[in-house]
Amino acid sequence: MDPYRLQFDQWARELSAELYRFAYWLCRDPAQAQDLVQEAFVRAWRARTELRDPRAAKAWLMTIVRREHARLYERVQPELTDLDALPIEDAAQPSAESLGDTELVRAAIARIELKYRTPLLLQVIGGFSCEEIAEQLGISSGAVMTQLFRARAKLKALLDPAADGRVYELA
Amino acid sequence: MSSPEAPRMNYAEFRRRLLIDPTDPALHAAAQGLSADSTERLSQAVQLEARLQQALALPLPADLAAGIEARLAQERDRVASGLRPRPWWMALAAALLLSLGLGLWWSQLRSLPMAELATAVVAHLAREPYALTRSSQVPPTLVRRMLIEHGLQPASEPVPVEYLQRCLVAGRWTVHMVMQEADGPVTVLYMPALPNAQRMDLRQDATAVRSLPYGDGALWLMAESNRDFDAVEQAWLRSAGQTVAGGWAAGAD
Repeated sequence: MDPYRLQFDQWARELSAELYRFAYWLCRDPAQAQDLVQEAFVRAWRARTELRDPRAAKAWLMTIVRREHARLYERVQPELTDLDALPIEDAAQPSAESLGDTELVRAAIARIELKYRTPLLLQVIGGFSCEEIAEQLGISSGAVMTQLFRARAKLKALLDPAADGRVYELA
Repeated sequence: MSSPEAPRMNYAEFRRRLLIDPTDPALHAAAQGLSADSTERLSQAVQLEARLQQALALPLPADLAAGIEARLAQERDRVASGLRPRPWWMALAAALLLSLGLGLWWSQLRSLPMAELATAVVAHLAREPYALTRSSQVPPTLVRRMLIEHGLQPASEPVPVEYLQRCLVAGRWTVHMVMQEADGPVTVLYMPALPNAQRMDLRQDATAVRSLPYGDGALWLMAESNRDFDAVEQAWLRSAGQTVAGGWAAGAD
Protein backbone atom coordinates (compact mmCIF):
# COMPACT_ATOMS: atom_id res chain seq x y z
CA MET A 1 0.00 0.00 0.00
CA ASP A 2 1.20 3.50 -0.83
CA PRO A 3 2.68 4.93 2.40
CA TYR A 4 0.92 8.22 1.79
CA ARG A 5 -2.52 6.66 1.61
CA LEU A 6 -3.08 6.35 5.33
CA GLN A 7 -1.72 9.85 5.82
CA PHE A 8 -4.07 11.34 3.26
CA ASP A 9 -7.07 9.50 4.68
CA GLN A 10 -6.14 10.85 8.09
CA TRP A 11 -5.86 14.37 6.71
CA ALA A 12 -9.27 13.95 5.09
CA ARG A 13 -10.74 13.20 8.50
CA GLU A 14 -8.81 15.80 10.49
CA LEU A 15 -8.61 18.75 8.09
CA SER A 16 -11.75 18.48 5.97
CA ALA A 17 -13.84 20.68 8.28
CA GLU A 18 -11.42 23.61 8.19
CA LEU A 19 -10.77 23.21 4.50
CA TYR A 20 -14.49 23.08 3.67
CA ARG A 21 -15.25 26.18 5.72
CA PHE A 22 -12.32 28.00 4.17
CA ALA A 23 -13.46 26.99 0.69
CA TYR A 24 -17.07 27.92 1.41
CA TRP A 25 -16.15 31.41 2.57
CA LEU A 26 -14.10 31.89 -0.58
CA CYS A 27 -16.80 30.81 -3.02
CA ARG A 28 -19.94 30.91 -0.84
CA ASP A 29 -21.45 27.87 -2.52
CA PRO A 30 -21.67 24.57 -0.60
CA ALA A 31 -21.41 22.28 -3.63
CA GLN A 32 -18.56 24.26 -5.12
CA ALA A 33 -16.80 24.28 -1.75
CA GLN A 34 -16.96 20.49 -1.57
CA ASP A 35 -15.61 20.23 -5.09
CA LEU A 36 -12.78 22.63 -4.28
CA VAL A 37 -11.79 20.58 -1.25
CA GLN A 38 -11.94 17.32 -3.16
CA GLU A 39 -9.92 18.78 -6.01
CA ALA A 40 -7.38 20.11 -3.52
CA PHE A 41 -6.88 16.66 -2.06
CA VAL A 42 -6.51 15.15 -5.53
CA ARG A 43 -3.92 17.73 -6.53
CA ALA A 44 -2.12 17.26 -3.25
CA TRP A 45 -2.13 13.50 -3.79
CA ARG A 46 -0.56 13.93 -7.23
CA ALA A 47 2.19 16.07 -5.69
CA ARG A 48 2.45 14.10 -2.45
CA THR A 49 6.19 13.54 -2.70
CA GLU A 50 6.79 17.29 -2.73
CA LEU A 51 5.56 17.87 0.82
CA ARG A 52 8.67 17.86 2.98
CA ASP A 53 7.02 18.52 6.34
CA PRO A 54 3.72 16.76 7.13
CA ARG A 55 3.03 19.43 9.73
CA ALA A 56 2.63 21.89 6.87
CA ALA A 57 -0.18 19.85 5.33
CA LYS A 58 -2.95 22.21 6.39
CA ALA A 59 -1.21 25.26 4.98
CA TRP A 60 -0.39 23.33 1.82
CA LEU A 61 -3.96 22.16 1.30
CA MET A 62 -5.41 25.60 2.02
CA THR A 63 -3.05 27.10 -0.53
CA ILE A 64 -4.26 24.59 -3.11
CA VAL A 65 -7.90 25.40 -2.28
CA ARG A 66 -7.21 29.08 -2.67
CA ARG A 67 -5.46 28.59 -6.00
CA GLU A 68 -8.17 26.28 -7.30
CA HIS A 69 -10.75 28.87 -6.38
CA ALA A 70 -8.76 31.54 -8.22
CA ARG A 71 -8.33 29.23 -11.21
CA LEU A 72 -12.05 28.66 -11.30
CA TYR A 73 -12.70 32.33 -11.79
CA GLU A 74 -9.99 32.67 -14.40
CA ARG A 75 -11.97 30.46 -16.75
CA VAL A 76 -15.51 31.08 -15.65
CA GLN A 77 -17.08 34.46 -15.15
CA PRO A 78 -19.73 33.73 -12.55
CA GLU A 79 -22.94 35.67 -12.46
CA LEU A 80 -22.02 37.93 -9.59
CA THR A 81 -24.69 39.54 -7.55
CA ASP A 82 -23.98 42.92 -6.09
CA LEU A 83 -24.79 42.22 -2.46
CA ASP A 84 -25.23 45.90 -1.82
CA ALA A 85 -28.04 45.90 -4.37
CA LEU A 86 -29.98 43.04 -2.78
CA PRO A 87 -33.43 44.03 -1.53
CA ILE A 88 -33.36 44.32 2.23
CA GLU A 89 -35.91 44.85 4.94
CA ASP A 90 -34.93 48.30 5.96
CA ALA A 91 -32.66 51.04 4.78
CA ALA A 92 -29.45 49.50 6.14
CA GLN A 93 -29.56 45.73 6.54
CA PRO A 94 -31.78 42.90 7.75
CA SER A 95 -32.65 43.20 11.40
CA ALA A 96 -31.03 40.97 13.99
CA GLU A 97 -34.46 39.80 15.08
CA SER A 98 -35.33 38.52 11.62
CA LEU A 99 -32.05 36.81 10.85
CA GLY A 100 -30.44 35.91 14.13
CA ASP A 101 -27.06 37.26 15.05
CA THR A 102 -25.09 34.45 13.42
CA GLU A 103 -26.77 34.96 10.08
CA LEU A 104 -26.27 38.69 10.44
CA VAL A 105 -22.56 38.18 10.97
CA ARG A 106 -22.42 35.75 8.05
CA ALA A 107 -24.06 38.29 5.77
CA ALA A 108 -21.51 40.85 6.87
CA ILE A 109 -18.57 38.48 6.30
CA ALA A 110 -19.82 37.86 2.78
CA ARG A 111 -19.66 41.58 2.10
CA ILE A 112 -15.99 41.85 2.95
CA GLU A 113 -13.90 41.98 -0.22
CA LEU A 114 -12.11 38.73 -1.02
CA LYS A 115 -8.73 40.44 -0.76
CA TYR A 116 -9.38 41.18 2.92
CA ARG A 117 -11.58 38.18 3.63
CA THR A 118 -8.92 35.64 2.64
CA PRO A 119 -6.31 36.51 5.29
CA LEU A 120 -9.11 36.77 7.88
CA LEU A 121 -10.24 33.24 7.02
CA LEU A 122 -6.69 31.92 7.18
CA GLN A 123 -6.27 33.49 10.59
CA VAL A 124 -9.58 32.55 12.22
CA ILE A 125 -10.36 29.23 10.51
CA GLY A 126 -6.82 28.11 9.82
CA GLY A 127 -5.29 29.45 13.00
CA PHE A 128 -2.24 30.79 11.15
CA SER A 129 -0.06 33.63 12.37
CA CYS A 130 0.50 36.78 10.35
CA GLU A 131 3.89 35.48 9.29
CA GLU A 132 2.43 32.16 8.16
CA ILE A 133 -0.34 33.93 6.24
CA ALA A 134 2.22 36.20 4.61
CA GLU A 135 4.19 33.17 3.45
CA GLN A 136 1.08 31.53 2.01
CA LEU A 137 -0.08 34.64 0.20
CA GLY A 138 3.36 35.74 -0.93
CA ILE A 139 3.10 39.18 0.68
CA SER A 140 4.72 40.89 3.63
CA SER A 141 3.60 40.50 7.23
CA GLY A 142 2.84 44.20 7.28
CA ALA A 143 0.50 43.81 4.32
CA VAL A 144 -1.26 40.92 6.07
CA MET A 145 -1.76 43.00 9.19
CA THR A 146 -3.19 45.83 7.11
CA GLN A 147 -5.61 43.46 5.39
CA LEU A 148 -6.68 41.92 8.70
CA PHE A 149 -7.23 45.37 10.13
CA ARG A 150 -9.40 46.37 7.20
CA ALA A 151 -11.36 43.13 7.27
CA ARG A 152 -12.29 43.48 10.93
CA ALA A 153 -12.91 47.21 10.59
CA LYS A 154 -15.31 46.49 7.73
CA LEU A 155 -17.01 43.75 9.73
CA LYS A 156 -17.37 45.99 12.74
CA ALA A 157 -18.77 48.81 10.63
CA LEU A 158 -21.31 46.50 8.96
CA LEU A 159 -22.51 45.12 12.27
CA ASP A 160 -22.82 48.51 13.94
CA PRO A 161 -26.41 49.70 13.39
CA ALA A 162 -25.31 53.28 13.69
CA ALA A 163 -22.66 53.00 11.02
CA ASP A 164 -23.02 53.22 7.26
CA GLY A 165 -20.77 50.27 6.55
CA ARG A 166 -17.81 52.38 5.53
CA VAL A 167 -14.38 51.83 6.97
CA TYR A 168 -12.35 54.69 8.28
CA GLU A 169 -8.68 54.23 9.04
CA LEU A 170 -7.38 55.20 12.44
CA ALA A 171 -6.00 58.74 12.40
CA MET B 1 20.79 39.36 33.17
CA SER B 2 17.27 40.58 32.62
CA SER B 3 16.04 41.08 29.11
CA PRO B 4 15.16 44.62 28.05
CA GLU B 5 11.50 45.49 28.44
CA ALA B 6 9.45 45.65 25.29
CA PRO B 7 8.36 49.21 24.40
CA ARG B 8 4.99 50.00 25.94
CA MET B 9 2.07 49.96 23.55
CA ASN B 10 0.45 53.33 23.03
CA TYR B 11 -3.30 53.75 22.66
CA ALA B 12 -3.31 54.11 18.88
CA GLU B 13 -1.23 50.98 18.48
CA PHE B 14 -3.52 49.17 20.94
CA ARG B 15 -6.60 50.05 18.89
CA ARG B 16 -4.88 49.04 15.67
CA ARG B 17 -3.82 45.68 17.01
CA LEU B 18 -7.30 45.02 18.37
CA LEU B 19 -8.47 44.76 14.78
CA ILE B 20 -5.47 42.72 13.63
CA ASP B 21 -5.68 40.00 16.27
CA PRO B 22 -7.89 40.57 19.32
CA THR B 23 -6.68 37.27 20.81
CA ASP B 24 -3.11 38.58 21.10
CA PRO B 25 -2.09 38.10 24.76
CA ALA B 26 -0.06 41.32 24.62
CA LEU B 27 -3.29 43.27 24.27
CA HIS B 28 -4.65 41.92 27.53
CA ALA B 29 -1.55 43.02 29.36
CA ALA B 30 -1.49 46.40 27.64
CA ALA B 31 -5.15 47.15 28.34
CA GLN B 32 -4.48 47.43 32.05
CA GLY B 33 -2.17 50.40 31.76
CA LEU B 34 -3.78 52.42 28.99
CA SER B 35 -6.79 54.67 28.94
CA ALA B 36 -9.94 54.19 30.94
CA ASP B 37 -11.86 52.61 28.09
CA SER B 38 -9.14 50.25 26.85
CA THR B 39 -10.43 47.33 28.90
CA GLU B 40 -13.92 47.91 27.55
CA ARG B 41 -12.62 48.10 23.99
CA LEU B 42 -10.73 44.86 24.48
CA SER B 43 -13.87 43.19 25.82
CA GLN B 44 -15.89 44.37 22.82
CA ALA B 45 -13.22 43.16 20.41
CA VAL B 46 -13.14 39.74 22.08
CA GLN B 47 -16.94 39.52 21.87
CA LEU B 48 -16.90 40.42 18.18
CA GLU B 49 -14.23 37.80 17.61
CA ALA B 50 -16.42 35.18 19.29
CA ARG B 51 -19.33 36.13 17.02
CA LEU B 52 -17.03 35.91 14.01
CA GLN B 53 -15.77 32.47 14.98
CA GLN B 54 -19.30 31.24 15.53
CA ALA B 55 -20.45 32.57 12.19
CA LEU B 56 -17.54 31.04 10.30
CA ALA B 57 -18.18 27.62 11.87
CA LEU B 58 -20.72 26.50 9.27
CA PRO B 59 -22.46 23.14 9.55
CA LEU B 60 -20.57 20.53 7.60
CA PRO B 61 -21.98 18.29 4.86
CA ALA B 62 -22.59 14.82 6.26
CA ASP B 63 -20.56 13.16 3.52
CA LEU B 64 -17.61 15.56 3.54
CA ALA B 65 -14.77 13.26 4.57
CA ALA B 66 -16.31 10.29 2.76
CA GLY B 67 -16.53 12.31 -0.43
CA ILE B 68 -12.86 13.23 -0.19
CA GLU B 69 -11.83 9.64 0.41
CA ALA B 70 -13.97 8.49 -2.51
CA ARG B 71 -12.45 11.09 -4.78
CA LEU B 72 -8.95 10.04 -3.73
CA ALA B 73 -9.86 6.42 -4.38
CA GLN B 74 -11.10 7.42 -7.82
CA GLU B 75 -7.80 9.16 -8.52
CA ARG B 76 -5.82 6.14 -7.36
CA ASP B 77 -7.90 3.92 -9.63
CA ARG B 78 -7.31 6.27 -12.52
CA VAL B 79 -3.57 6.10 -11.94
CA ALA B 80 -3.65 2.34 -11.45
CA SER B 81 -5.43 1.97 -14.79
CA GLY B 82 -2.24 3.15 -16.45
CA LEU B 83 -2.97 6.81 -17.06
CA ARG B 84 -0.31 8.26 -14.76
CA PRO B 85 2.49 10.35 -16.29
CA ARG B 86 5.52 8.38 -17.40
CA PRO B 87 9.10 9.23 -18.45
CA TRP B 88 9.39 10.78 -21.91
CA TRP B 89 10.74 7.67 -23.61
CA MET B 90 7.90 5.59 -22.21
CA ALA B 91 5.46 8.22 -23.38
CA LEU B 92 6.98 8.02 -26.88
CA ALA B 93 6.75 4.25 -26.92
CA ALA B 94 3.19 4.43 -25.67
CA ALA B 95 2.32 6.93 -28.38
CA LEU B 96 3.69 4.61 -31.08
CA LEU B 97 1.78 1.67 -29.72
CA LEU B 98 -1.31 3.79 -29.42
CA SER B 99 -1.13 4.90 -33.02
CA LEU B 100 -0.70 1.30 -34.19
CA GLY B 101 -3.60 0.14 -32.09
CA LEU B 102 -5.85 3.11 -32.79
CA GLY B 103 -7.62 1.52 -35.70
CA LEU B 104 -8.34 -1.63 -33.75
CA TRP B 105 -9.47 0.42 -30.76
CA TRP B 106 -11.82 2.51 -32.88
CA SER B 107 -13.45 -0.51 -34.44
CA GLN B 108 -13.87 -2.01 -30.99
CA LEU B 109 -15.34 1.26 -29.71
CA ARG B 110 -17.92 1.28 -32.47
CA SER B 111 -19.03 -2.21 -31.61
CA LEU B 112 -18.92 -1.79 -27.80
CA PRO B 113 -22.20 -3.21 -26.61
CA MET B 114 -24.51 -0.69 -24.98
CA ALA B 115 -25.61 -3.38 -22.55
CA GLU B 116 -22.07 -3.63 -21.19
CA LEU B 117 -21.93 0.11 -20.79
CA ALA B 118 -25.26 0.02 -18.97
CA THR B 119 -23.74 -2.40 -16.45
CA ALA B 120 -20.75 -0.10 -16.01
CA VAL B 121 -22.77 3.09 -15.47
CA VAL B 122 -25.03 1.40 -12.91
CA ALA B 123 -22.00 0.02 -11.08
CA HIS B 124 -20.51 3.52 -11.00
CA LEU B 125 -23.45 4.81 -8.96
CA ALA B 126 -22.41 2.70 -6.02
CA ARG B 127 -19.07 4.48 -5.87
CA GLU B 128 -20.59 7.90 -5.33
CA PRO B 129 -23.65 7.40 -3.12
CA TYR B 130 -23.32 10.88 -1.65
CA ALA B 131 -24.05 12.30 -5.10
CA LEU B 132 -27.74 11.55 -4.52
CA THR B 133 -27.95 13.64 -1.36
CA ARG B 134 -26.92 17.04 -2.61
CA SER B 135 -29.61 19.68 -2.49
CA SER B 136 -27.92 22.92 -3.56
CA GLN B 137 -28.00 23.74 -7.24
CA VAL B 138 -24.66 23.73 -8.99
CA PRO B 139 -23.98 27.14 -10.59
CA PRO B 140 -25.16 26.94 -14.23
CA THR B 141 -21.87 28.43 -15.41
CA LEU B 142 -20.00 25.43 -14.04
CA VAL B 143 -22.41 23.00 -15.68
CA ARG B 144 -22.11 24.80 -18.98
CA ARG B 145 -18.33 24.81 -18.78
CA MET B 146 -18.18 21.10 -18.00
CA LEU B 147 -20.51 20.24 -20.90
CA ILE B 148 -18.56 22.42 -23.33
CA GLU B 149 -15.33 20.77 -22.24
CA HIS B 150 -16.90 17.44 -23.24
CA GLY B 151 -17.94 18.60 -26.69
CA LEU B 152 -21.47 19.81 -26.14
CA GLN B 153 -22.82 23.23 -27.03
CA PRO B 154 -25.91 23.86 -24.91
CA ALA B 155 -28.29 26.04 -26.90
CA SER B 156 -29.86 27.48 -23.78
CA GLU B 157 -29.40 27.55 -20.04
CA PRO B 158 -28.13 24.15 -18.81
CA VAL B 159 -30.59 21.88 -17.08
CA PRO B 160 -30.46 22.54 -13.30
CA VAL B 161 -28.45 19.91 -11.46
CA GLU B 162 -27.51 19.44 -7.84
CA TYR B 163 -24.35 17.39 -8.41
CA LEU B 164 -21.64 17.73 -11.03
CA GLN B 165 -18.49 15.67 -11.34
CA ARG B 166 -16.16 14.41 -14.00
CA CYS B 167 -15.86 10.64 -13.62
CA LEU B 168 -14.13 7.75 -15.27
CA VAL B 169 -16.70 5.13 -16.28
CA ALA B 170 -15.71 2.09 -18.31
CA GLY B 171 -12.51 3.86 -19.26
CA ARG B 172 -14.33 6.93 -20.52
CA TRP B 173 -14.46 10.41 -19.03
CA THR B 174 -18.08 11.20 -18.40
CA VAL B 175 -20.02 14.08 -16.93
CA HIS B 176 -21.83 12.76 -13.85
CA MET B 177 -24.81 14.84 -12.72
CA VAL B 178 -27.78 14.38 -10.40
CA MET B 179 -31.15 16.11 -10.65
CA GLN B 180 -33.40 16.19 -7.61
CA GLU B 181 -36.81 15.43 -9.11
CA ALA B 182 -40.26 15.05 -7.56
CA ASP B 183 -39.98 11.27 -7.27
CA GLY B 184 -36.39 11.29 -6.11
CA PRO B 185 -32.93 11.85 -7.53
CA VAL B 186 -32.25 11.08 -11.19
CA THR B 187 -28.64 10.48 -12.17
CA VAL B 188 -27.67 11.82 -15.59
CA LEU B 189 -24.41 10.74 -17.15
CA TYR B 190 -23.19 12.25 -20.39
CA MET B 191 -20.77 9.91 -22.12
CA PRO B 192 -19.23 11.58 -25.20
CA ALA B 193 -17.67 9.97 -28.28
CA LEU B 194 -19.99 6.98 -28.42
CA PRO B 195 -20.93 6.60 -32.08
CA ASN B 196 -22.99 3.47 -31.48
CA ALA B 197 -25.17 5.13 -28.85
CA GLN B 198 -28.72 3.90 -29.05
CA ARG B 199 -31.96 4.33 -27.26
CA MET B 200 -32.74 1.74 -24.59
CA ASP B 201 -34.97 1.33 -21.56
CA LEU B 202 -34.10 -1.40 -19.11
CA ARG B 203 -33.73 -2.27 -15.45
CA GLN B 204 -30.47 -3.40 -13.93
CA ASP B 205 -29.84 -4.18 -10.26
CA ALA B 206 -33.09 -2.53 -9.18
CA THR B 207 -32.17 0.60 -11.13
CA ALA B 208 -34.20 1.94 -14.04
CA VAL B 209 -31.89 2.91 -16.90
CA ARG B 210 -32.52 4.85 -20.06
CA SER B 211 -29.96 5.69 -22.70
CA LEU B 212 -30.39 7.96 -25.68
CA PRO B 213 -28.10 9.37 -28.35
CA TYR B 214 -26.93 12.84 -27.25
CA GLY B 215 -24.30 15.03 -28.85
CA ASP B 216 -21.69 12.66 -30.22
CA GLY B 217 -22.30 10.19 -27.42
CA ALA B 218 -25.01 9.04 -25.07
CA LEU B 219 -27.04 10.41 -22.22
CA TRP B 220 -27.73 7.89 -19.47
CA LEU B 221 -30.60 8.39 -17.03
CA MET B 222 -30.76 6.29 -13.87
CA ALA B 223 -33.16 6.22 -10.93
CA GLU B 224 -35.18 3.87 -8.76
CA SER B 225 -38.14 4.50 -11.07
CA ASN B 226 -38.44 5.78 -14.63
CA ARG B 227 -41.41 8.03 -13.80
CA ASP B 228 -39.41 11.22 -14.28
CA PHE B 229 -37.40 10.02 -17.30
CA ASP B 230 -39.64 11.56 -19.96
CA ALA B 231 -39.54 14.98 -18.34
CA VAL B 232 -35.79 14.78 -17.75
CA GLU B 233 -35.18 13.65 -21.32
CA GLN B 234 -37.28 16.47 -22.70
CA ALA B 235 -35.42 19.01 -20.58
CA TRP B 236 -32.05 17.80 -21.86
CA LEU B 237 -33.19 17.72 -25.47
CA ARG B 238 -34.58 21.25 -25.16
CA SER B 239 -31.30 22.38 -23.64
CA ALA B 240 -29.54 21.00 -26.71
CA GLY B 241 -31.93 22.87 -28.98
CA GLN B 242 -33.62 19.70 -30.15
CA THR B 243 -37.35 19.29 -30.53
CA VAL B 244 -39.04 16.34 -28.94
CA ALA B 245 -41.20 14.24 -31.20
CA GLY B 246 -42.40 12.10 -28.34
CA GLY B 247 -41.01 10.16 -25.45
CA TRP B 248 -41.37 6.65 -24.20
CA ALA B 249 -44.53 5.82 -22.33
CA ALA B 250 -43.35 6.16 -18.74
CA GLY B 251 -45.50 3.69 -16.92
CA ALA B 252 -44.88 3.16 -13.23
CA ASP B 253 -42.59 0.20 -12.65
